[in-house]
Amino acid sequence: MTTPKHVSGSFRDPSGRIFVQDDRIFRTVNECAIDNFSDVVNTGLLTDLVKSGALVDWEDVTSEATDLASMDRVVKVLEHPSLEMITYPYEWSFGALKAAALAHLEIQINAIDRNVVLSDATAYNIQFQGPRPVFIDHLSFRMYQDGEFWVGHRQFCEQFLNPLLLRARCGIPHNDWVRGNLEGISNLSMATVLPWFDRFKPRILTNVFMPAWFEGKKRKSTNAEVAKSIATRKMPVAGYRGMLCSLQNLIKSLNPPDVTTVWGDYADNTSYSTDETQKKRAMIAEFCGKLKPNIVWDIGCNTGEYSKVALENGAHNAFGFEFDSGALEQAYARAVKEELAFFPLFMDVANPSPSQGWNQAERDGLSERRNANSVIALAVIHHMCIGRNIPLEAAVSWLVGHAPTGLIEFVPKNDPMVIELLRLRDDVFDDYTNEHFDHCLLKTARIVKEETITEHGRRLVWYERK
Amino acid sequence: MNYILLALALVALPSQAHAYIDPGAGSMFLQMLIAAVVFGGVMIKMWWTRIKMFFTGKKEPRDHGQDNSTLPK
Repeated sequence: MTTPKHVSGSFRDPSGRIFVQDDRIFRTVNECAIDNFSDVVNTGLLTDLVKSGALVDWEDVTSEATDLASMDRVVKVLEHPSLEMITYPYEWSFGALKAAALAHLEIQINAIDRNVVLSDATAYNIQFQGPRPVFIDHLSFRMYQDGEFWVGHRQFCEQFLNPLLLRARCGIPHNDWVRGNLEGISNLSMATVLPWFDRFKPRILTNVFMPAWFEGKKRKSTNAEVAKSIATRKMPVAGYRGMLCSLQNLIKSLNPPDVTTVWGDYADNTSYSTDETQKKRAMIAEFCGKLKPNIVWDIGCNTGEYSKVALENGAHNAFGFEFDSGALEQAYARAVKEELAFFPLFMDVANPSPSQGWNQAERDGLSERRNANSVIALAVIHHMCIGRNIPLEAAVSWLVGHAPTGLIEFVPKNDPMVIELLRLRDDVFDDYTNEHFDHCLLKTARIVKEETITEHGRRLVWYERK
Repeated sequence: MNYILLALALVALPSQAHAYIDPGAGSMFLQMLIAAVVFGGVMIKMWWTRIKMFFTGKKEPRDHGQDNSTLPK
């Protein structure tokens, strides 16, 4: 057995820590949290949430996990089933963030009806199994204290509500802003960018504009004065629950105004004939049928059409990566509607998620989370090389680095899509050729199979790393 | 009298819950306002009940101290 490794993103809550040991996930419960955790478990809430799929399961393994149980202050050790991949709110689609927000509120409403509340409202406590949100922090639950305020309200607004409003009310995808500030979008910032007439929408007024205004007023009071004011007042439970239900109704009503974009219907674009699509589908079916990969990464997944083909032909789980927000929404909607083991994520191939947060290790970068058995990269390499000036050798190396096997589509210069990319600029891409692509690929891999799928010479290449 | 005790209990007792995150002064001020509005609802309902009782001649039930049904749902 290896030594337990502390997960670097688990440090804020003193109630416990997450560790990984031999690919197993453990949670320590510290002595300061054990009474509360036992009380919460005794309500039956956690068991019911696990049954409904809203919470990841847990098992008490204190007697088995001796390394962890003997640590200072640790009194209990839990084990959780591991998730296929940890993802972050700045990688989620609007639909996924909305589903996560509603899942959080649903849990809170169920909890308060059993005299339990959540001690925080961080979006990072939600993960996804396929397109379905699941809560992962068992130590966030604690018993309700009579008359207490909702301490997670500000965090909920910053990490869920404001990013959703940014897209729904301002048309700006939340991903860049939330990646830029892991705490989320502040009420002060949100109040600045929201349309002025949103002040007349009662739920936005109370959850964004009023807290922002009070935040400004607070500057004239000391923290001690604020704390004194809070300490002499009580929130009726009806008020607490009312805040949750009000936010639930507001978030249910939010939708992005721009779900259809230029690339959103790319899969049906006229540059693809039915015959080409069929050839792609057949190659993916053969590839996944033979390899049966547990995890496929679909780089440039568009609306998830080919991830679905992969899943129908032997792949067990698929993660998609897409730059276009409209296509991403459609991919997430497809995964939900068709109940696929598929989760599409926002990614700019020229700027994937970095390792960041405290000590640059709180949230792992994309490279640190590489776990795919196979990668599919269809119609993406020209966007990397021509669109973003990434040298062909670096692009191929990056794609092949994701997984030991894969399918890459090479799009040559005489393809209509590449001609369009070059229409307003000089062709400075002398190395961007079929021959150089093969040369780069063969440095680290061998070609198992290849097929030309269009009259312009698009090629599908099945590789296997050496 | 029991109504008044219930109403005082809603506003007078300390309500600090342990939080390892900063709840934010803006959110706390907002919630104090919401608490006051909910409390106001309780008071209005209480006095409206008393006025109705005055005109209908019915007497106040004795055991209202444990009855939370006056809270807005």
